[in-house]
Amino acid sequence: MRSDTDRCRLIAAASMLLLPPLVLLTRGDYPGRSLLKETLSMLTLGAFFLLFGQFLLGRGARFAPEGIRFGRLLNLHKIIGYSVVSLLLVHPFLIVLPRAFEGGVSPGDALMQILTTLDSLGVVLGMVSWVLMLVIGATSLLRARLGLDYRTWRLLHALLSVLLVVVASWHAIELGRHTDAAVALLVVMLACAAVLVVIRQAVYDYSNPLSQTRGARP
Amino acid sequence: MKAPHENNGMSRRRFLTLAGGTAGAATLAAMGMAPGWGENRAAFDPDNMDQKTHQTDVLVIGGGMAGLFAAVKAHDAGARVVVLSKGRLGASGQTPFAKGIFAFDAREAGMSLDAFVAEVSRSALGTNNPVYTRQMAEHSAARVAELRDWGFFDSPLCNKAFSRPMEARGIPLIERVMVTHLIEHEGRIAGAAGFTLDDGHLIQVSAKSVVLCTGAGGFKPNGFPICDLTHDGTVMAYRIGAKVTGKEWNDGHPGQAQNPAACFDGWHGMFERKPDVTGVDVRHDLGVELNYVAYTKGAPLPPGPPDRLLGRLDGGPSRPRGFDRPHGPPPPGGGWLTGGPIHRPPLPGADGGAGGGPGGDKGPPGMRGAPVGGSSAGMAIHKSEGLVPINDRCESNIPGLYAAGDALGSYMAGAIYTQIGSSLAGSAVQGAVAGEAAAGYSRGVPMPSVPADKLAQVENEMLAPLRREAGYGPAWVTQTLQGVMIPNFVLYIKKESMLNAALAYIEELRDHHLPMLCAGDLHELRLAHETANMILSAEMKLRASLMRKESRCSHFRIDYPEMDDANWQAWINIHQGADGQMRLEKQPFDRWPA
Amino acid sequence: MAISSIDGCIGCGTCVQSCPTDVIRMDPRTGKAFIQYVADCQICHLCRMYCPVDAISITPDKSIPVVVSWG
Ligand SMILES: Cc1cc2nc3c(=O)[nH]c(=O)nc-3n(C[C@H](O)[C@H](O)[C@H](O)COP(=O)(O)OP(=O)(O)OC[C@H]3O[C@@H](n4cnc5c(N)ncnc54)[C@H](O)[C@@H]3O)c2cc1C
Ligand code: SF4
Ligand code: SF4
Repeated sequence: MRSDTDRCRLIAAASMLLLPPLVLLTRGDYPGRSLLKETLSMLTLGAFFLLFGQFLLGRGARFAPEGIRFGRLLNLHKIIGYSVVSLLLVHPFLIVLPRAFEGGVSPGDALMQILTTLDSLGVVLGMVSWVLMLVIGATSLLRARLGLDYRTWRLLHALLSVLLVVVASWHAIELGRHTDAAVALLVVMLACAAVLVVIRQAVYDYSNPLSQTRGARP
Repeated sequence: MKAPHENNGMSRRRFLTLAGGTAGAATLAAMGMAPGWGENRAAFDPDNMDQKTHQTDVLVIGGGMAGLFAAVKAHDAGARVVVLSKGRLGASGQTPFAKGIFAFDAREAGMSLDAFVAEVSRSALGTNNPVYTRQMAEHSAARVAELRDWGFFDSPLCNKAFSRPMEARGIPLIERVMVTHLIEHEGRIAGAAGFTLDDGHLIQVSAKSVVLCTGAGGFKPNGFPICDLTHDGTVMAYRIGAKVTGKEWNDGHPGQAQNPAACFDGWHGMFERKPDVTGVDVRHDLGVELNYVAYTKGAPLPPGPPDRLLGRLDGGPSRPRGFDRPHGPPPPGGGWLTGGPIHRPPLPGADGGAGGGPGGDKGPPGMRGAPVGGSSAGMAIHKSEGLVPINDRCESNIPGLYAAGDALGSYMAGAIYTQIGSSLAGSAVQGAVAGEAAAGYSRGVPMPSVPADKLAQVENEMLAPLRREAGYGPAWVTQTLQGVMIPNFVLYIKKESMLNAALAYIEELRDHHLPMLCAGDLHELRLAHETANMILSAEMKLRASLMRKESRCSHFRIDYPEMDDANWQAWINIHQGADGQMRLEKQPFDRWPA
Repeated sequence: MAISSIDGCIGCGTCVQSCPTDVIRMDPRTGKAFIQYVADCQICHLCRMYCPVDAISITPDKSIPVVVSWG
């Protein structure tokens, strides 16, 4: 019973994050593309917006809807985190993938062209985000093996995540196919919210030394 | 017309043309171009453009199939080479859209080289130059093999494959240069000049020899991807005294009634296909039969294979015996050369008119929807128009000036499409021949030094449209020219009175509007020169069409519907007389120019 | 209206080079490609096929300038 309510709330929370972009997409006047391309775009967009939700599901969870246990949230945080990061790591390849099924530049050549367009701020931001995601993913997966103690890792994770959310948002605003003014505004707002959550958590931790030993352990 | 340096990017004239009505304004809004559009300011002063000069043995102009092979083979023959091209290598001109390339293989064809040449000549009603027909077939397989090595057949886009041999040899390539002038000095070629489209540099190349690979052209027609080609090479060469041929012939590709300007859609995805190789299959295709049917029966022409629906018509273009039906199998033996009589075919055949690509069977599968005419308006059959060769080495009558591919009036295929895929193959073969010949020529001559005042004059002419305070916009002049030239009853179904009437219009454009063409930025400067070239091409087309008082292959005179072998076993060459007037003369089919 | 929009451009400049009729230019302010001379688009799709991120949309219709007595 209890877990059912949890689930409902979680689904509600997740759709809160996914709905706005989807609404924007259907509302927007974007040129029609093939089903494959639209699907890939949607997946990428969904993954990107879920990124923001991660800040609420992490230790920021204390601000999440009441009555959901931290442990469950952190589990969810992990599941979403690993899948979203994997998807966004292949995002550059997904962009060029449809070229394999149509006439035009080949996927390999297209990727090379993208990776060599280094005078484009958006491309560089994308590359930085990609590396950040890789590091965030790897340090989470291999924390124990890397011998990172929990609190160091937690700090690192928070810092890298904030950096990522800023750089990735900038990248999405700079290059996003579906980024018009409304989407850009939404992204900025969500990014600000995410950063605020982390700052608030830090302030809380600072003013409340006890919390530094009490954090839920993953 | 504002002075260019005050120009806010979108010239007033362009704005007026586009936004001439509320519909236009609505279109602009719909395009969402309000703030960004026209942002690319012509932020340069025509009196203060950067000069870039180059020196080379062989200058190749054009980055299509012919230009590629000219550059590569001239380099391999030991010459220093520079390539200038209005568009990107392998992504401009007609080369990007051709998907079938011919390779002659006697064994596979079950036909000797001699038999092949004879068969083409039979279909071409004598209009082909058998020397070039043979040369094309003879070298085609070797060129195809090289293309295969470079990866030409691996992608629908050819820039990468074309770049490979260029980069391997380190051949300098300057793209997006509009060449406006060939420079002649002391009776021979001395180089060329133009300007870059992006940063507005003046480019001047001193060269011992020049290979024109500038392709053919048209009147910026809707429905054929040749709007970047306006016979620039031909007209530049004509202005310095070269002989030009083939202006009376017509390419008869139809378009489709629905969205006639959409080339990509009209070819039903063919542009996205990888190229492949075609074998021997001699035809008599894509003349003006469909235009004749539309002229006599009226529009719309029913979709589908036209011969089935339209049945026989009296009169109209005739076909050589054995080529009665488009794509029909040639009969064994006989032919026009041995005096076989001509008779009229059912019009127009199966997939002939609406089907195959120019010189290729890779055409759109029956271009669905009612066909409309004029899609390639202003263009002749590939290789039938261009500079007159004085020998089999692609040499023009101006020492050091060579031409290859669609820029050379080699009559390789004749004045009608005869062999699938031979257009692309011919450009490759002739490019190689011309490149080698130019390299050989440049070994024996010193680097020309052109006097400064001549260069100053060239620069003046080039930039004049930018300096004019008032005048006529190239887009408007082009539109007017199209209105005069493209109608079926002027361009395709010809008669004396209409040709003369059109000529009066074109002379007006030539004498009054051409000298007043103006441009607000580099894009318009290019358009201004292209428009001037189209006006001269139109005049050539009308005069040659008036002169040829017979019908043959893709030239049809409704007032002279018969072929006249007594008077017209001849090509028409055009050159500029000492008085600046256009002069036309005959050159017998079996002879090189005098 | 021929080439109709560019979305998701990374500013590589390939389409500017690959357009035979010089329709597209780079906007120096944004570093991205934009449609500058749409009237000259020949609807050949080369720009779209060469674009590494498939950013370019093209429609089959074309708006032709209205007829005026001089221009
Ligand atoms: C839609 C279509 C389908 C076709 N299909 C086939 C086919 O299946 N098989 C076949 O054999 N043929 C086909 N053809 C014909 C074939 O494409 C041409 O005959 C051939 O490609 C011509 O090559 P080229 O190098 O001579 O000229 P082009 O390829 O036309 O090249 C001309 C070059 O000159 C440059 N240039 C022009 N003017 C200037 C200037 N003023 N300054 C600088 N540079 C300039 C251009 O930018 C371009 O790079 C087709 C043509 C079209 C349009
Ligand atoms: S090719 Fe594509 S990514 Fe590159 S500049 Fe053009 S639209 Fe932008
Ligand atoms: S469709 Fe062709 S003409 Fe139009 S912008 Fe693209 S490349 Fe240029």
